Amino acid sequence: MTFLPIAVRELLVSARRPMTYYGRSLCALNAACVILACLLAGFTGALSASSAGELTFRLLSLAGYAVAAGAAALMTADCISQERREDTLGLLFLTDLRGYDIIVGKLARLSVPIYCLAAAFPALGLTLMLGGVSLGDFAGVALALLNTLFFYAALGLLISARSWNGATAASSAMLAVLLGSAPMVAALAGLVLPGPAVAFLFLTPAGAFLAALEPVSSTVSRPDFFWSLAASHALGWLFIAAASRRVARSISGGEDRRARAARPRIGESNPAAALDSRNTPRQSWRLVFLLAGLAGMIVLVSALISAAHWFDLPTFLGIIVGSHLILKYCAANIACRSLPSRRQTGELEILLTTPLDGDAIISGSITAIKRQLLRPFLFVLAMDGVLLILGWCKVGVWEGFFWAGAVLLEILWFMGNLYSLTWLGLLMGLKHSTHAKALGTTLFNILLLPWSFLALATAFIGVFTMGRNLSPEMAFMPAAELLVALVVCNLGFGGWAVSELRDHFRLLAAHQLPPARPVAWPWKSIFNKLRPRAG
Amino acid sequence: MSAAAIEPLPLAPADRVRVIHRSVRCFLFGLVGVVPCFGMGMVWLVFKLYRDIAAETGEEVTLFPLHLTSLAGLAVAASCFLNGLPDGVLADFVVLLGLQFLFLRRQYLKNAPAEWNPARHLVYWGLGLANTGLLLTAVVVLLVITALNHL
Repeated sequence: MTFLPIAVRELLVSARRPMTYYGRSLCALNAACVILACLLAGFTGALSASSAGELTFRLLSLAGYAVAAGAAALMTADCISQERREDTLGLLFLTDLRGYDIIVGKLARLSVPIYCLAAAFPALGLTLMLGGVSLGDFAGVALALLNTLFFYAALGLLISARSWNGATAASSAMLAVLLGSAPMVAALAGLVLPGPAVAFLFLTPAGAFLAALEPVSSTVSRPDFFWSLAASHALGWLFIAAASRRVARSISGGEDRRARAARPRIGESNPAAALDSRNTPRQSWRLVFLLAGLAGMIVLVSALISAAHWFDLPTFLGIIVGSHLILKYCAANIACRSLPSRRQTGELEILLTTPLDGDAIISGSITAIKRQLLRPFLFVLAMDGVLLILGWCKVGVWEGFFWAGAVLLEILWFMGNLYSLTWLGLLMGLKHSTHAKALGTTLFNILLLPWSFLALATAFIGVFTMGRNLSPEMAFMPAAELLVALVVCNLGFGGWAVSELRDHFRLLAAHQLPPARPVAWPWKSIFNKLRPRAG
Repeated sequence: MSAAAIEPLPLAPADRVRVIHRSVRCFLFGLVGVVPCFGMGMVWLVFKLYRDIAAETGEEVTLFPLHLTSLAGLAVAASCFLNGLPDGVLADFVVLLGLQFLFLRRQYLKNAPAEWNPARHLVYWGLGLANTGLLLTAVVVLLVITALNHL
């Protein structure tokens, strides 16, 4: 018998997916761009060689931590729960597989983020040559990043083994990542953590990461690195053992209490909207409380950092951007879940047999999403308005115009993002087999991809000028390019989603992707026409 | 039986409502795509929609002259830009726009689709607008680089 057959299968699936290779290349490219930007800033004399090396090292390590933790949690959060929903978990246990076979096999999904990290390590290693970073720092951060990947994957598997609903599992895993990383962020911000928080930090991979990143940190010192690494690693194996046990014991499954929810709203003009609107009031109020809690937490953290200056623009900006990000995540999450959950329960199939056309079903889903997010959206807008006025009063009438303009731009941007995330989420939900994949792709394309363009633009300017004669005016170009990339990604992906959903809704709903046609590159038509014909 | 005697199979009937919807969408995307730089995301969607509509209505796609003139125009604009002639870039843009307008008009009148599409003119308007957006983007980028060089 093959050792860990599920792991072999997962590795084969990853090897056949083009995104495995594109993602790896993108990671290496981004890391190289950051290195280049800092290197060229060093040429201008803005940074010394060692400080450039240290800055690059910190930037890349922090980005690596965020990517490793987020990717590990998202990639594993829905893998067991999906098998349970599709009733394939029981089939696996009909063979001689055991719980740990399945869990360790699913861990093989981590091959993609591991490749991405491995692709970024050479760029990280270049900082050794710049100076300011020792071999020990490099090795410590590399170990801590791999441990982060393992820990959050194990936690994601445990959450997945205990869940039935994909969206809940993905959200819980992301929440766990945020909670696990919060003490580290607070320590990096210069806060003195109380005893329980330090103990908690010590048990998470963030403790080892912080010790490797900041050898002189007062929170976790360098000698604690290996202890923290060992503790969090052992905790990861405990999570794996617990997940294996849970999987083996829960084959009877089907315990979705939420599936037995209230009946659809009577008197709704669009049946698709009625089906989606069951849990609306409870969920939307919960989100409002969450947003209010976030605002309170940011104020509290600001007061802890600086008791004198907590009532200032950075705090207001933190609240505005934080609440917008949470609502964007919720919009993408709900949109990715909306149609696939209907498909799973068979409701979508029933809707498709009625005289309703695809447009009506989509607009019903969009209406339901709008209804779910209306209260939180109004709450966020009200909060933005209050903060705008407070900020204006704080900085004065004339200086306040800049603040008001920035906040209004952010609000406009937030609305545009919500629209694109909803449409792309609906499409990705139908296209991808798991909720986590759909959510990850949606968030990446709309929120993260434009920032890669910023890295590229910075590197381009650095190469173009070779780091000489850099002036503050030069910053205009990357800023303009970022703005263009943000608009292009939103409009492009949003328009594509609208187009695909309207044209191929029935095919997508039946899980039959429309036939792919070869991309018609412009130069192909020119070469074909100019090519001399035989005879 | 000779090969000439075999008649080609008729095309599958197009879903006319869908074709009209797509044509209108092509025009709307073209309207957004005409905005330089910011509309770039829509430009490729317009070209994709044009190809999809042409495939559905059995229309021949000949974008070769459009691409070739764009390439030649870009080369001329780049040479003007390198020689420090921003007026040349603008003149090149105007000439190119006129040429491509004539080409698209000729193609609209000459090409006959197998299936009647009452909104066919909107597809060509969308295509023209998207192409204008593409050219405007190139001009804006070149002019911005010129302005930055003067700083």
